[in-house]
Amino acid sequence: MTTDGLRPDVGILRRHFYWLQPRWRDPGWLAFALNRLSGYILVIYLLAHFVVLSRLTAGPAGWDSLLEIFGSQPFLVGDTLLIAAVVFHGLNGLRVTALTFGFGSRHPSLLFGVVFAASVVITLLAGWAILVE
Amino acid sequence: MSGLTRPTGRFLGRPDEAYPGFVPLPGDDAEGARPLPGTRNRAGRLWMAQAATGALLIVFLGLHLVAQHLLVPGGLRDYAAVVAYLRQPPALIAELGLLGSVIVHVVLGIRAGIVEMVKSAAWLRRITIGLWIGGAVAFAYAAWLTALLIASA
Repeated sequence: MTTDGLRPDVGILRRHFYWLQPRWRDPGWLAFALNRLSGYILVIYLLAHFVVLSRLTAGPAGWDSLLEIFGSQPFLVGDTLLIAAVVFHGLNGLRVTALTFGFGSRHPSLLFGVVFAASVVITLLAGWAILVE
Repeated sequence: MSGLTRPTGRFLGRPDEAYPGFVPLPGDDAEGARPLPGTRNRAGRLWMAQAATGALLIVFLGLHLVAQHLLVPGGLRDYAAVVAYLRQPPALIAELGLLGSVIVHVVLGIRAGIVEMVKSAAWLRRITIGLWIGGAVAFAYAAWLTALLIASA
């Protein structure tokens, strides 16, 4: 069992980003890395969301002028990617919570596969609703 | 796998040696996580709080996405529609619930990443306090914004 990433004599950044290194051959590692990546993406989005919502203070003129920009194709593609992050983060959270209470630990790969497949399907459905409909 | 000691059934925080995403198998030795020197081990309770807010988020964020985007023609509400939506008490409760749970969940999530970076309990404590202050400011800002919209003519 390697503990390199957690050694106290290693620098702060290397200690933090050890989870990005694909040295652990385990679906749990992939789930952890994707969960943390999507978590950071969602934190950044949340901050951007708060900043954008401040335009509501400018009244109808300030807000409604933004709607056209956010309805444009690049933003809709971004929305779909955001949905992917939200859905994976949420479903993986349910997976981890299930493991916490002792469910699913006998078949971790299967559980992760279900979470990943469900995320893909839901993202495709959402992408269809956002981009096509 | 020897030395990886997380009890199944109860989560007491990730063991120091555990690699990311480690899944405990039934029968693994239960020793528990070692807290940083000088701290109580609150990891288990914080983890439970994050799981609880995560469950709330699935409900509130689901409502938010469906009500604010999926059911709206075009997917985005104009100003008048945002105000009209927030003036309905159930919608207001759902939005404030979403706000509260997302902020607690984010603070705990960032803290979980910080835990792996800091070397001392004192710094962890300082950063944690800073995160909660930031979360409180974000909550106050969003609540103020909501109140402003509801009160607008």
